Amino acid sequence: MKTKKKALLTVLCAAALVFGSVFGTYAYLTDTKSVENTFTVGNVTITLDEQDVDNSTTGKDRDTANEYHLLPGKSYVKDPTIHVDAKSEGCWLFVKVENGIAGIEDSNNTIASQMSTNGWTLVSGQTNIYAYRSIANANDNIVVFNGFKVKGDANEAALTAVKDATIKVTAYAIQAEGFTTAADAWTGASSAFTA
Amino acid sequence: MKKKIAAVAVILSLVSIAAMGTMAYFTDSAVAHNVITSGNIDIKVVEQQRKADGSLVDYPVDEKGNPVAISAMPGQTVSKIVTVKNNDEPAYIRAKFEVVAYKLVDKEQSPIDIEGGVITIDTNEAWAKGTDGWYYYSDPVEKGGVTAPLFSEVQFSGPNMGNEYQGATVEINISAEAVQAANAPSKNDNPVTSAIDVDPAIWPTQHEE
Repeated sequence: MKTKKKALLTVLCAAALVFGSVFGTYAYLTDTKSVENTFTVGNVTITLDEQDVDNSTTGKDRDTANEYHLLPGKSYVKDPTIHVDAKSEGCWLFVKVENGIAGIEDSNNTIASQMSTNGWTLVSGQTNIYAYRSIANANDNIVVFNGFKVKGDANEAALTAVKDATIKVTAYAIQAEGFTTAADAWTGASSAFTA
Repeated sequence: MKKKIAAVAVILSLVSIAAMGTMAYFTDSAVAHNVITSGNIDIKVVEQQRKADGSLVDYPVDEKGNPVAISAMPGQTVSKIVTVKNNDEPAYIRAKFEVVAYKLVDKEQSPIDIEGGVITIDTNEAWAKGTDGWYYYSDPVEKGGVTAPLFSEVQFSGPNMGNEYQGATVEINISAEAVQAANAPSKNDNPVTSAIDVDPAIWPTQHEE
């Protein structure tokens, strides 16, 4: 009937309008989204110092070197201490101790025995590198040893032999993350330290 | 006698005029209202993490909607499961990520050149890597659908990530784009079955360039 014909005509017109708009421009419906991920990498930072015994550094109680005039039977203060930085991550600590006066040390309370008491153990396969017993954390102060004593019967020849000798302490720190033991840390990361 | 004829004649005339007075046909009218609504394309990048107990949780986000910063150390693998969710009309999806590292020196960013092997991100094979650096998802994604993860974890190398990264910041910035699946044009004569088949000119980034 006439009403139906009109309706059909209207629908056809609407369909034509839709097609016209789709092909009118070269643009499609799209969307864009983005997110930013931030990772902050930690750090491992230590310092090493000892009491300024010879007052070589003015205004400070701690220093990185001291000079000693050795006398038989005398005890000297030398307390190399590792300080873990306030913002540092937990770390395994190691020290290399090159003791140039071991030959004239009093057998009681040697540097080596003090280190053992303080929690330092020789790293397997090493002769002078020691590992600290546990992970050190931020703000920790770990003492290596406290002092040394010249044996009472050290003669002039023995003392002359150690003239200009040094006790050199080098400290190392390796991140604790990823290493269950100090030995693992040394095996895994010590190659980063130059000899 | 004459009067009657006259009356008849007039009546006849009147009738004739009335019959031919107007030229109208039967008509009718109808109005049809067609409401045409355009669809909408809406996607979202979703990030989750796998906890130690195996549960899957959403990454906490900051006020900008970005995941909150997390700490990382060399040798660490961070769980980060990145997917794209389609909230509206079926769409083809592509995504890409950019890794940058820098240190803040006097509040200025001092870039770190990331060498190979420092940060490793393995992408899921459902995302085909295009020559343009974008990863194209294998199938169109229906409304409410979620893609397979673009990647699931970020590995920070122990041996390769040295002290130059101490205190550094690493950013992984992820972008995702979607185009309508309906009538999406192909880049060649073959039909579109995957996002990588879509005419490159259609993606939003192309238009900005």
